[in-house]
Order: sequence, then C-alpha cells, then structure tokens
Amino acid sequence: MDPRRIAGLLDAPGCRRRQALDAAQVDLGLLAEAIGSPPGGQSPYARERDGTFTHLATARLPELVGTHLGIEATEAVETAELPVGAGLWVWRGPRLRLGGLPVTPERVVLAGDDTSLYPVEIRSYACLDGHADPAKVAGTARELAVVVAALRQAAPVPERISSRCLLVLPRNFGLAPVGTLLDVAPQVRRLAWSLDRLDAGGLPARLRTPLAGEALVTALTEVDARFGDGCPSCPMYTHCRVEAERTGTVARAGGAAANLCGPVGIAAHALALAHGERAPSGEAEQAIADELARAAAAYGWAVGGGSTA
Amino acid sequence: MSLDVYQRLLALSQARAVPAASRAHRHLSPRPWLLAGYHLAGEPSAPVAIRYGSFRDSPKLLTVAEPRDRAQRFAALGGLARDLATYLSRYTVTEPVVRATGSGRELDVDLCCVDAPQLIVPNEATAHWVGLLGQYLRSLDDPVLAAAGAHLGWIASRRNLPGSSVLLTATDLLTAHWRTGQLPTEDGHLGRLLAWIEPPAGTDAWQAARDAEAMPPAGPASDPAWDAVVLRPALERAKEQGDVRRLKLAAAEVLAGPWRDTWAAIDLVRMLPPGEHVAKRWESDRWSWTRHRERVLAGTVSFSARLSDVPAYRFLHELETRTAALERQMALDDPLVMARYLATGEAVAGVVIKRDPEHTVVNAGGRSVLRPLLWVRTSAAFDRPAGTDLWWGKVGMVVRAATDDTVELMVTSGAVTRPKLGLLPDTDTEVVLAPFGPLQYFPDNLPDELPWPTRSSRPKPAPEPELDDDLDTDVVLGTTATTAATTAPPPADGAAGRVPEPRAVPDSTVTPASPAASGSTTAPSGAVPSGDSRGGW
Amino acid sequence: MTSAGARHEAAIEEVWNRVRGTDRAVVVDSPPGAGKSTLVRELAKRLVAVGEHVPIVVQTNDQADDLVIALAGAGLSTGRLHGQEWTPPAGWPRQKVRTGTKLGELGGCDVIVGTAAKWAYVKADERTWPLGVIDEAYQMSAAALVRVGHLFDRLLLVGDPGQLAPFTVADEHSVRSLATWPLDTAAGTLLRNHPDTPVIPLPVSWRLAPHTAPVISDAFYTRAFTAGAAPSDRRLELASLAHPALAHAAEHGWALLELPAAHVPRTDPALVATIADLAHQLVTADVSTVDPSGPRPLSRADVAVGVVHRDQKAHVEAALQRRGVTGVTVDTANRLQGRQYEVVLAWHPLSGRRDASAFHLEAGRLCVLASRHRQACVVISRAGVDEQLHAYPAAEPVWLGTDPPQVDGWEANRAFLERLAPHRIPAR
Repeated sequence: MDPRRIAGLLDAPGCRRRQALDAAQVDLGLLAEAIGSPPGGQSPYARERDGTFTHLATARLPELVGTHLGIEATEAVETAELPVGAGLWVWRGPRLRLGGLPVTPERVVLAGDDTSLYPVEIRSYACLDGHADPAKVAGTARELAVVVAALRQAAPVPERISSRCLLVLPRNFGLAPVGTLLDVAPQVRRLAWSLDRLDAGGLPARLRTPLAGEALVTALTEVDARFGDGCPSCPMYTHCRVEAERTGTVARAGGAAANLCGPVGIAAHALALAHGERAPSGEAEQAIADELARAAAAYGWAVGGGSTA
Repeated sequence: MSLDVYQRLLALSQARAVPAASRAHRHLSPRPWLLAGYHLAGEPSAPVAIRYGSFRDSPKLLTVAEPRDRAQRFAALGGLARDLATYLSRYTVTEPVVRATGSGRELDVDLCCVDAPQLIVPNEATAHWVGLLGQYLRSLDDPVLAAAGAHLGWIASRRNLPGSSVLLTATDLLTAHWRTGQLPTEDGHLGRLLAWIEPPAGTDAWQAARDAEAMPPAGPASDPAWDAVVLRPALERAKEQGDVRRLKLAAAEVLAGPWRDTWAAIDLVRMLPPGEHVAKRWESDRWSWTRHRERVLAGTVSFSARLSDVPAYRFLHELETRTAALERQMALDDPLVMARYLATGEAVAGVVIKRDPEHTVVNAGGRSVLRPLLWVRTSAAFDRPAGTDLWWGKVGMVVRAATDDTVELMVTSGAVTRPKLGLLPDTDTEVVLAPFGPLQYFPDNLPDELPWPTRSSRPKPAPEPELDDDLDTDVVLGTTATTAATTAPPPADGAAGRVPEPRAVPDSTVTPASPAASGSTTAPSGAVPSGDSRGGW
Repeated sequence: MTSAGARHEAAIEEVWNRVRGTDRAVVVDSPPGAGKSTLVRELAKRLVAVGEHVPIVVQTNDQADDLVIALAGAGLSTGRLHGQEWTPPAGWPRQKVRTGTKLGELGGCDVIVGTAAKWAYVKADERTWPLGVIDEAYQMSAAALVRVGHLFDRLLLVGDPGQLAPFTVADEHSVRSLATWPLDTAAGTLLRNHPDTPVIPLPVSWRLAPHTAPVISDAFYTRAFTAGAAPSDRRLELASLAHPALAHAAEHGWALLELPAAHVPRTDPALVATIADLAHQLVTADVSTVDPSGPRPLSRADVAVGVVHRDQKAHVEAALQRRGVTGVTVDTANRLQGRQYEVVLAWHPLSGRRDASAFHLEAGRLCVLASRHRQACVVISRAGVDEQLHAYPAAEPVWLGTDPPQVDGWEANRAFLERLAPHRIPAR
C-alpha cells in the first residue's frame, strides 16, 4: 500500500471498520464500486502540474539540500537499496514493510550526511510567503512519518533515518521550488502506537480473503463503525453515513453532539429526554436530560419571542 | 454549546434545518457583487471561468481558453478588473459623520462613504481564492490589474475580521442563521446546506443533500472528472480551432448552480429582520472602505506579506476585541442567540422576587455608596461563583450568592444613584440577566515598536535568493502600521492579567476615530488594515 | 545539607550570579513547588540590599496580593500598583505597604508589584528600570510582554513551563497565519528571540512527594527534576478502613481510581459521588499528615478537588455540601495554578468522554491537576482513557516553519497514564 493509505490509519484510529479496511488491504477501487460511491481521482491538470513541478524541483534538489541540510551533492543518484554515506539519492519503487503491512512508495528521495539520512518530499501545493495550508502539511507529515518508520524498519541502524524531512513546495504562484524543514517525530510516535494496536486488533476471518461487491460490503458492515467528524475523508463515508441516518445516530450530527449525549446514542431518545417524554434510566441519563432540558427551555423561550431586557 | 447540540438533534430528527437566529446578523447590500468560478486544478492564478456581477439574471461570464497562457489570462482578468472598478465607483459619495477620537471622549466630524461595496461568494474556498487572486493581480505590472488586486486585497482582508460584511460567503450566511443535523464539516457544502434548509417538496434533507452533492461543485476547485471529460476537450477545441463556444457553454452550465445557490442564500437571510447592531458594524466597514479609497487615491496602498512585529500584536488585539463585541451584540440583538448563553448557564432567566434599593456599602475611600440588592427566582440553578458579573440592559450587577432557585445580586452600575433607581426592574418583572453589558471598549496600549525582549537579537537571515520565477514578484513593502493618537486611558488590573479592564462608552452613534489615512497595512491572507476600526463599534 | 538542598542552593547562586552579570535576560524554569516564590523574595531582598529598585510583574491580582504580603513580611519597603477596581484582600498589611493606581504614589518603595495589564499603562518616558522581574512567565503571553518590555533594560523571567498555555477568544486560524505568534508564552518568545539567554532550571521540587515527582517530571517536563523530600520524610497516616484508593495513595503517592468504562455526560454523577465520598472520608476519618516538622491532623484546608469544567465544580461542591463537608477547595485547573495542598483529588480531563479534544488533551491542564499535592494525588477517572487516546486522530494542523510543541499533549497524557498503570484501583 502507498504511504498515503497507511497514513490513513491516523485519520480515524478509533473506527474498527476503518482499521479492518486497511488491515485487510481492501482494494479501494473495488470498494468504491461496491458501495456505489462517486469516482474520485485526480484532475488531468493537477497531474500535469505535479509532474512538471516534480521534474523542476528534482533538478534543483542538490541546491536545496545544500541550503537546508548542508549536504553537498551535484545530482540525485539512482539507488536500489538504502544508501550509505553522504549524498543525494532517488530510490524508485522500494518495497518496504511497516509492522506486517507492505509499504510501496513510488519513490523515496534521501539526502545523507555522515550521521543521518533525511527524507526529501516534493509536493505541488503552494507555499505562499512561507505559509502553506496547515491541513495539507499535516497530511504530508503523516505520510512522511510512514516513510520514516518503514525506512527505520529496513535500516540496520534505525536511528540513522532522521525524522527531520525536507519538504519542497512551489513558491507563491509560480513553480520555483522552495524548501522547508519539517520534523515529523510526533507523527512517527503516533503511528507506532496505532500500528501496535492494529496488529493486536485482529481481523474478521471473512476479510482475510479478497472480496468484492456485496460480499465485501457485508463483511465490512459486520465490523463496528464509529461515525464522527473525520468521516468525510474515509472511503467508506458514503456507506456509513446512510447507515447512521437510517438508525438516527446522534453521532451523525458530529462529535460535539455525541460527546454531550454520552450513552444516549439515538437522537430521538436524547430529544425525548430533553422534552421529559422519556424517563432517564440512571444518573448519567438524568444529567444529560438536565442539560438538554435547559437547552430546550432556552430554545423554547427564544422561539416564543423572548425579550432580553 | 448545549443549545447547538440540541438544535442539531432537532434538525436531525426532523430531517430539516432549524433556525439558529431570528435576526440577520450580517449586513446585506441591496446590490452586492457576486462571484463564483473555477481555476485550473492546483493553480489559483489560472482562472478557467468566473461568473460575476450584481445582476442575478444577467451575470457576466469570464472564460480563459488557455488558462496557462499569461496574455489570455490577463486579457480576461482585465475585463473583470474593469467591471469591478465600475461597480466600486458607485460607492464614492461621502457624508459627514460624528465620531469619537483619542480615548473616546472627544468628538470629531469626518467624511465617511455613505455605503460600501460588498462581495458575496459561494463558500470559504472561494473567499480564500479572492484573496489569492488579489495577491496575484497586485504582482503584475498592468495598472488596471494591479488596481483590481489592491481592491480585492482590501476586500479579502476584511474577511478575517469578525463582524465585517464586506466579503461574505453563502455558507457562512446560512450556518450563522440555521442549524443542520449533519456533520459540521458537511456544512461547508453550499448545496447540502440549502438542501437542509429548504428541501424540495417530497424529499427529506438527507436525500436532498445527497442529490446536491451530485451537482457540479461550487468551486473554485472543479470536479476532476469534469476536467477530464468536458473541460479538456473544450479547451482543446478553443485552442486549436479558436472556437470558445463549447467552453462558454460548459462553464455557464457548471457555474449556474453555485450562482443560483448563492442568490438563494441571500434571499433566505433577507427574510430575517436585521439585528440592531448590524448597521453599526457596517459603519465600521464603511470607514474602512473610505480609508482604503483615500489610500488608493493617494497612491499609498501597501500590502505586507504576513503581519509581523507590532501590527501582528495589534491584529490579535483587534481580533479579540471584535470577537467579544460580535458575540455580545448578536446576543443582545437576538433571543435565539441569547438562548445559547441561557443554555450554558452563563445567562440567567427568572423573576425578580425581592428588592432592596436602599442597600449601601462602604467603598475603598471609606464613603458609603448606594448598591441596591435584587433577588431573582430562577428556573434552573445558577452555578457560576459569587463575584460573577451580569447585566440587565445597562444595569450592571454582581452575584452575591446563589441557591438552587434564587440568585442574590448587588447592582454595581447603571442604577446606583437616587435619580436612576427607577431603572431597576420592579418586583415580579421577568428578566434575562446577560453576561454582557454596555459596549466594552478596550483601548490599545501597544508600543510603536517592539521592545527588545520580543525582537530578535540575531541579524535577520538573508532573504531567499530570488529564483527564476517571473511570476514571483509580490510586493512586500514596509509595514508602517498606523498608530492611533490615543491618550492613556485609565489603567486597570485585568483579572486575567492580559487585557485591560474595559471601559464603557455609550453605545450610540459615535465610533472611535480612525487614524491617519496613509500607510496602513493590509495583507492578503490572515491580516487586516490595522487601525481602521479599533475596537469599538 | 542534603544533596537536593545543595543542588537547589547552587541553582539559586547561579541565578544570582547571572542576575548580577551581563546577560540581558535570564530565565528560571521552576517545576511545581521548586521554591519559585522564595526565590523571587530572596532575589528582591538581595537586590534591594545592593541598592537596586525592583519592579515585579505578575499575572493576576491574587498573585500580586500574595507576593506583596510575602515581601512586606520579609521587611521590604513594598508598593502595590493596582487598578481602579482593586480592593485589598483580608489580612492586607496596610501599615507596611503603600498602594496606588499611579507610579507617582509609590515613590520611595524599593519593590513595586503590579499585574502585567497594569504595568502596560506605565510609560517608558515616566521611568525605566535597569532590571525587571517577571513572575509566572509561562502564564504570560508574548502579547503581554510586548506591552511592558520597554520598561526594563534587563529581565529576569521566572515561571513553571508546565502551565496552561495563554488563551485567546480569537479564531486560532487567523492568528496562526501571522508571521509572529503573539500567543507564545513570554518566556518562550524571549528565548526564541534571544537564544543565548541562559535558562536555569530549579532542580528540586520541595512540594511533590519522592514517589510522585518523577512521574510529573517524566510526563510533562523537558528538564528533569527530583523531589527534595526523602521517602522517609513524608507520610499520610490513615485509619485502616480507608478507601483502597486512599490507602494506596497514602503508600505510593498516586492512585488511579477507575470507574467502569462508559460514555457519560461531562458532570458524570457517579464520578461526582466518588470524589465527594473520598473527600468526605479524608476530612472525617482520622488522617494525619507527617513531614519532618512532625505529624498533624489533616485539615479541610489541606484537601483540594481539581476539576476541568465549571459545571463539574458546581456539582462536586453541591455533593460535598450534601455530605456536610465544607472548607475543601474545589476548582478548575486554571484557578489551581500556583497553589498547593496535602492531598488532591483530580478529575481526569478525559474521563468518560467519547472523543478526546485538544482542550482536554492540553498537557498543562493535566500537569496542573496532578502537581498540586505534597503527600498524595488520587486521579479519578472512567476506565477507557487509553482507548480515547488511541482513537484520537493525528490530524492536528501543522504550521510550516514552527517547531512542534516541546511537550505534546497527547504524548504527555499517554506517558502519565502509563506511569499510573501500577496504581490503578478499580472502583468497588
């Protein structure tokens, strides 16, 4: 799986269905077809721009690693294994592993000095006046964390792989590459923790064999989902939300609602508590009923044209 | 918070949005300028198509047959720049307005534009794009394009200021006034929002929202599949045969939805009566527009890349002041907003059951002063500590004690002299005690330049070498931010130790003065012209 | 002198030498109960003895009042610069202290104490000082430092880095897009701009017990510290029928009392009842606190309950009242900063939630709650906090060109929970 897919483990680590999807390495194309979700994909123009920028930036890498990492290199050298020593390398199609999962990045660029190897990542979203979309940078940082962790698993001396990466972005509105150092140590630590849990989790037997169509959906649906604010970026989103809508789950309205309602998972039950139409089953429900009843009273007062003075 | 959850649950169970406001809290111009468009994937400086204008039924349509060709791009954007200039030229009439200067005590008369322009776009991403387009246009040599860039830069800079209505998004207009039962992140989709508020007859919000998702996106990023299947052939045809009809048709077709939806959002909010403070906040926008025009005329418009140094601190102060003021004004204007504070317990509703207007205390100077007491019976227990401040209109009070159903309050302002005792609520009056009082005006006390502890002791690193990128020529001028000629206000210890104690000024027609017109600094992203509207409005 | 005492004294002398030296600024990192207040008082005394006038900037009126009372008690001629609305607290030493809203009213005072908000209105053309002292420099924001920095030629900043970060009502995204970070701490911004500034850590916590200090040090601090007390110095003596969590905490310093896992409302009634029962037992049973000054009965003022939200405070207070317990402090983390008690009952910020949030994960919040005690701390929580930590998406925005936080909230929470695992007591 590519680093982006594995980095997805950090998107919704609390959802068992999502974990099963990744642990079973389900083909996302087959999944989209099975649940009838709209085709995703990249615009041809975005692809062209990526290609052009990657080409331009690669040519400028020696200069950039010199400026930001103090590494002297005249060009990026092709390699087929983890390089040693000082220099700048491109490793195409490395077959790495992370825990039990295969990690197959298209290519990994590495800059090395005598003590460390630094991953270099080229992305085509803009860096405007030194400022890039923090959500995109966070996404890149998670993917880089996968690469760092997988390289460490492959390296004889794991500490040689630095968590400080060089991120190369186009500057402002043009295509001139600009480099920034990005330390992904926090993401690497989070990833390690998630992977430990993933291995321990275990996979439903049915998902151990490749499935497609209805069988795939049924098998996945047997695993509990946890609906929440992060769901729209998940491949199962369109399926899970319909399920949440059908059952009237509080979480369909977001994490804030789910946290407030605690054990009361169904919106209609929560409202019944708020309106005094349902007897709280215990102290916890009583507390929720109290809080929602206060909100209901305030809403009633305001809708009734309440005056503020 | 809990009211927000309650409303979301109501919406979810009814499969229809519920009102979150009963007043319009954004100013809506009788003649806004709307803009919806697409740019080439990943390239905000390369517009493909933009629908814009003030007329719902006859929008202008800009298309660029070869978006990556700079000459074609400039020609198309030149048309938009001229149309924008025409629209803005309607807002040049001024009128004399009385405003407070200095510490807010002296009055002065100044000329202010009677109205200001307003740009409305479908969503946040388009608002962000407007800022980027402005930044890009300012980097060009063409005077018409650069002038449009300066205007868009001013417009975009207002976006970050709570309470400003110069640049509105349809999604914000709707989420400010309605609550849906979907994920808050899904509220960023204009079509989905409208589906929740007005689902077509016969469908519930869930189905209507899913249908809306199947429509072309509101931009500025286009549907990748459309790029491949429709846009690419249309652009190729335009390029190879000089025939732009197909491109224009395709663009008109995909932008019709966002155009219609943006107008629909405006229509919905127009049905609400405006909140009382909306005009006051719009006046702040008018002042800002007036200053911006003056700077344009004087040729002194400048933009800094990102605010740093003293302007960054001033910006934070302005953001904090405006955030607090906007919350307060919306709550005072609208019971549905005040209800949020009732639900959290920060505000209290109840009935006055007892009064002691003659109660006195001895102040620090040893003098006996009038501090009437009130007892209010509440429906829910008040759980804030003694010492909490509450207000009933202009009457300020502090909580002395609270039991399960009664709050004892001491009046500390607004009705602490004999002639004003009549302003106290009578026994049996139903009251809502709010956590805000009269307008709070935080005078700024920032130094003109950063003191040494917050200034780097190391020489600034050499700027990145200029790279061979001819587009990369953004103007970065000095950030000589204006400083208001403020005389020192009465100092005070802030309880939190950070902000000075607010001083009440009459919430009437005066606005704190704006500083000299020249040299103010705006920035394309995340920054504002400083000093335009310090604190109070 | 014990070795801890010697290390502490050495640090104090280093601070003094630095203060008398040529460094433009000196930062003292003081972990919980490391003697920060004593240090400020001692330095003020020494500075006055060599003829200096000492302006001291604090963050809240309560801090200013406490400090002024201490300084006046030490015989220093002290002035309290205050705002219009300030009223002196009970026990204010009127005879020994001058007060005023203007600097001119405090002429002749050797030491002047005021809040940062008040100092911000003093004009540099009125007066500047060769050296200023900033107390609680990690509670103070860069935005506050900008408003007072011009008054002092040199600065001594003292503070605890394990505090709650400065807070704003403004939209964080708008503030983050600035090239400057005005919500950095005063100490953080000074160190960023003057990286050569010496940072002197106080190495010893005199407050925390020998078995609790290492946990706090490991989970929340980048500069390690140890407890000043020896294991034999401190003891909590309980009747044999005490709640197992109290008995465990009396012996080990910590107990993590876990109620069954559940998603519950913020004011979890079962947790409220458990805390109230524990507090009730602490103040009614025959409990003695023992330290080198000898044994004494645990009083109500020795016990505090630390909570996360105001409504939790209200519910715990009501439950205590129903049990007839008065005089026990119940407060939120931000209001417990800088205070100390013998025994603290801490409501775990993540207890019973479905999802963690940045607010509930903030390292400073948990650190403050877990580091107010001298003898023991009982953390009360629903089980399942580790699940919440696991489920928390690593989706925090990353701002290009800024360093990751020195102490990450998620990691601090995880480390703290791991260290408390041996002290886990399931609720009966």
